[in-house]
Amino acid sequence: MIHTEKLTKQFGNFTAVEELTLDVAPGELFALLGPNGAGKTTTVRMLACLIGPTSGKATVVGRPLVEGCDEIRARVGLLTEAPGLYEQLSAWQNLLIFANLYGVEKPEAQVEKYLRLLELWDRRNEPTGGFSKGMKQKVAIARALLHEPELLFLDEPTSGLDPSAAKVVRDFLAELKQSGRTILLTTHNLDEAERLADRIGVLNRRLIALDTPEQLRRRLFGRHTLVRLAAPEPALAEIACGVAGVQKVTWNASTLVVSLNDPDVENPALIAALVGAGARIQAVTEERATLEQIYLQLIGEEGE
Amino acid sequence: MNQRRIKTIIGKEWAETIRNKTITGTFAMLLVVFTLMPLGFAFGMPLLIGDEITKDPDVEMLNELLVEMFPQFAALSIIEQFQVFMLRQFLPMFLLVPIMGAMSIATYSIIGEKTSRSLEALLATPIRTDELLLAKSIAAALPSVGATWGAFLVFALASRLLGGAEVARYAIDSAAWSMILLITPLVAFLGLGLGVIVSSRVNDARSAQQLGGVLVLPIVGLMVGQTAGLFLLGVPLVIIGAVVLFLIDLAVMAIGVSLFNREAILTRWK
Ligand SMILES: Nc1ncnc2c1ncn2[C@@H]1O[C@H](COP(=O)(O)OP(=O)(O)OP(=O)(O)O)[C@@H](O)[C@H]1O
Ligand SMILES: [Mg+2]
Repeated sequence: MIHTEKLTKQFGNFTAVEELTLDVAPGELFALLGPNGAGKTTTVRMLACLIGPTSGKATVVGRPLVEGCDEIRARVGLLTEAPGLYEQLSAWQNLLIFANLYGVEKPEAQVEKYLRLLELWDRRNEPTGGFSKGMKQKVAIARALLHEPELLFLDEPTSGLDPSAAKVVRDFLAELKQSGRTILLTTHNLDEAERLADRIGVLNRRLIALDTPEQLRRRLFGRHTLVRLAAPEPALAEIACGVAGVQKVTWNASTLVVSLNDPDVENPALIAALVGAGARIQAVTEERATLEQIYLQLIGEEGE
Repeated sequence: MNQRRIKTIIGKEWAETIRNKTITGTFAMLLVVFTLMPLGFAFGMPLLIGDEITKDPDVEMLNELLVEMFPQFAALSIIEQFQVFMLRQFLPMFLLVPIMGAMSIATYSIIGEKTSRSLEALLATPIRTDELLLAKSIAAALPSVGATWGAFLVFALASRLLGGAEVARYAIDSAAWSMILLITPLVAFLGLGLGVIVSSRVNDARSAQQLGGVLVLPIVGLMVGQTAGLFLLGVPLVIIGAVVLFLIDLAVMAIGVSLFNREAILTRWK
């Protein structure tokens, strides 16, 4: 759906995006994660045919950048970083304008469909200038969907929204994904990327990591199994160390922290060994590195 | 060029323009002032001052001068001559409506899109930039030209009613009509081109208006400076003026078009 090869954008001498090579498969929800100024918006703008790359190649919905831009624009949807509505005009007017610009066949019906879907129907005739941020964002999302694009770019879809408005948007994105659309979203919100995305690309001018949330986590931190005991028993650490696949064992108060290669495979043997040695286990849990830790580590490495 | 997209943008521009009190207010004021002022001077003053006006040394001198230059004026009474002179004097003012009207609609429209950050979504649609520019141009030029023509029609009718057939015939002759018909659209396009250029450099409507005002000033000066020559103005001169203006328009429009491309609008129009 998206394929880029060493896509680069410079503004004067300044390189905003450097040699980005990336593939996004049909139906995939891909999250581009990165700090402020990482080049997320610049990347989206290039792929949505708003600005031309300085060098490198890309195809979007099977059409080459820049030659195929007329067709690309017609087939992708873009949620811009700022909602950018015509604030004197109503939601209905705003959407109808875009339905017509996109050449939608039954513009009124399509506008109605999305206004109802996003629960804006009752307020369709009010000027959007009076809407809350969350409602404006919903209008902007509807605007990006009116022509039923197969590929959707969402530039920070939940930024600036309160938690409940962000949840509404996120749930809607999950539905969109169910409907088979390919989505590329940018975000600072790690939790969001983790919950929604099939794969995450961490961008900081260059692409510094690209994987599923699960793999990213494993690659950087491994996983730990936490075994809580009634009291610390030094002998149990020895036993745990003897189990195949165990990397490292440490104590945290009366909890045994065990690093493993693959907990899903190695945990049963570990627990059996501990129980066999008479351990009085109160609880077994798994500790996962949060995406935030991964992210901060990646960005930190990048800065060194 | 895709007509549906062009019509959509024009409709959108108009829907926004009628909701913009600054623009509608400016328009209303220009129209009222430029229609009523010449009528007031030409017909109100003689009413107020009465016969005294015929004894005013300035008016006497003016009449002598006019009759000397245009013997046919001798047939008119002194008051009628005064009326013809006044009506004629204010004619170029009508050209301020299209130039300022088109310029303010264009700058408000573009700067409005900049401040509301709506351009990015617009440019993400399949609309071509030349379609967008054309639509915005039509949206700004059409009401400006229409309003000017409408106001002039009112002005001509009122002159005829208040001053009689003779006064109207001399004051609003074929040269005046050709000027209004031909020059108005050209001046509107000039205002429009200037509006696009100004808006590409400036970020708020007020400074745009100021910058625009500075650009328009020499043009206004030129027009007002020409009033003395207005009696000499014949249809051929109007046509020559129109050709010159047309060439200026082309140059200004070319600059406007070159400024108006997707990437430049998004990244350099800060
Ligand atoms: N038109 C431009 N001219 C010059 N520099 C630009 C331009 N647009 C973006 N940049 C620079 O390119 C870099 C990347 O910007 P971009 O907007 O793509 O970042 P981002 O990842 O979207 O950031 P944010 O999270 O703040 O939205 C920034 O340093 C920015 O200042
Ligand atoms: Mg951004």
